[in-house]
Amino acid sequence: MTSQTVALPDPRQALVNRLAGGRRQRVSAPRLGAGILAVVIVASLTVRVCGIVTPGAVDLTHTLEPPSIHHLFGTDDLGRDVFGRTIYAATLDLWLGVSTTVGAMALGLVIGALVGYRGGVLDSCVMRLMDIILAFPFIVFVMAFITIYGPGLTGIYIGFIITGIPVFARLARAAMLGVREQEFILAAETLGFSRGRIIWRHALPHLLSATVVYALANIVLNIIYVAALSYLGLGVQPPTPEWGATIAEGQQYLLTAWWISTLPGLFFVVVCIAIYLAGEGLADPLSRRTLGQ
Amino acid sequence: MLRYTASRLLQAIPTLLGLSLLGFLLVHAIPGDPGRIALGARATPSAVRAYDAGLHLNEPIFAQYITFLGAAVRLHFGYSLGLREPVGVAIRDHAGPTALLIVYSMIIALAIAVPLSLVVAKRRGSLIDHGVRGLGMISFAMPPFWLGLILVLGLSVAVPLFPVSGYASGFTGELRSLTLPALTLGLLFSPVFIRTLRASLLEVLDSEFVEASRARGLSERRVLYRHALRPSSLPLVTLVGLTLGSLLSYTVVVENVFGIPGLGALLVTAVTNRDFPLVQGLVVVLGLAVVLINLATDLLYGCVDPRVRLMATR
Repeated sequence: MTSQTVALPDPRQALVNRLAGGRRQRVSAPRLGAGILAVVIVASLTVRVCGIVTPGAVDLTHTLEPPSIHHLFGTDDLGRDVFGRTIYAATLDLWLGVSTTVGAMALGLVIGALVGYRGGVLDSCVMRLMDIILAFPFIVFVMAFITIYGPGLTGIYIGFIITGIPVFARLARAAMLGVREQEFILAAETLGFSRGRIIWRHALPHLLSATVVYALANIVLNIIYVAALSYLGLGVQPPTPEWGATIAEGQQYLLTAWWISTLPGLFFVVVCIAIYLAGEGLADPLSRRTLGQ
Repeated sequence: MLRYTASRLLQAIPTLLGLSLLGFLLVHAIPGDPGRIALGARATPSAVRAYDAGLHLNEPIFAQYITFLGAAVRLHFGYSLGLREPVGVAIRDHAGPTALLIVYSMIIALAIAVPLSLVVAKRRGSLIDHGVRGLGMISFAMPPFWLGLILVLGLSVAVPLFPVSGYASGFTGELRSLTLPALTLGLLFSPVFIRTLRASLLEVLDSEFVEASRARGLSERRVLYRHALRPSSLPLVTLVGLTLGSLLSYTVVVENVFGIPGLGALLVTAVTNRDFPLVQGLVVVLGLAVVLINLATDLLYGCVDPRVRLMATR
């Protein structure tokens, strides 16, 4: 695939392609996503590290101000700058989505690789357990953990990681069943490598590419659900700025000050779409490298 | 059919046991003494002991599990700490709105998805096709509570069609209160249905019997509606069952946006107050509902499509 855009004779077709994210567009839609994501992350880190935004800065002379050039997203009931808080919160929300996904992915890969390689009774038992977790309404499961640890991040980390494992384990196991039959694994076995070395050094890199695409979708899902739990008052606690919590705080002013809830939400949606677009860029080259294709 | 039903029922048993074990262990995983949490710091040690004995916490753990299982089958989960009523009663009183909301949002999702996927399948690769796919991606990136608020701004503030929140009585009142929450869920879930129905429609439209009906000179409309639609909608049956788990998760959130007094609202109150008997009951009942509905769709699918039950029992 080349990155040059070919001049298209039919402008209508060009429009279709541009809106579609079809073949010609594959190259730039992921770049757009990655670009948005990079800007948001850099801005959020800068704002945090350099102390440009003090998320708790109360200004009671400028409460509930509509969006303006000074306050892009307006101010809330305590006169805090909503845009600043939204940017500030981006690192936290992205971190929660990424860390829970990476945790689940790591455990799921190891479990899936192990049972996929060994097979037998262990395989069917473990996969049955995965099915049970998967059969559960996801948020109820996480909320059970929040009941145990109380509202906050501990229950969220544990709940999201455990509920995330089954799909990764399934994907890794399915890929392992294919990889196990490949000649290079046979060669490694013939050379007398230990099982751990074969799984870890030889098979795992191939399983990684099978799960990475789902991982990106999972990041978005986890960001949405962490925000949802914070919105319900069970996750990140105010006054810590977080997208879901901010939207919840603004809800009571929905009729008088619509910007407090809606604009951070819009920002949220744009970031999530950017992750999807960036993920599409990863899906293409990886799927070509996956074995058996 | 009997063999298929039996094998499906047997497969559900380990899941149900796992579910009950999870609900059971929940109380044991809470750090500290359940009696102390329930009765507060000022309770006397003997009162705490008596409370724990009421939960059978002084018995061997295996015996406790058997007791729990026996009670759970009859939906006895003890008394809620916050509501001062039996957990079973609280769940029964809140189940109605949730069930109605789920059915309502499924209907909305299908009402959006079926006509749109017919259009999209007919014009594969067109602007509409890509547009619908793009909207689908946006819906995956959309937090349900935010979409709910946007719909409130649009359909009850700008144009006062529906109540902002709350739950009116009477069937029409309930429907009116549930319209915006159901629309939120329906909009979020219809892309999944569209994608599946579009894919299976395209597959069926390529098949030989469709070619044959075209060759017989039937109009394209008749081919699409009378011959292609029915076999293509089969995967939807399974999908409706599979989506239910995630739909229930979204329902928990959306109920709280709109102040619908359903199981989701009950669950959030229970978790906030760490009302563990109520959480335990809800975990088991909601899990049970999902497992049973999945089982029902599996059986229904076997009923509708003989190939499935033949394949499963072979």
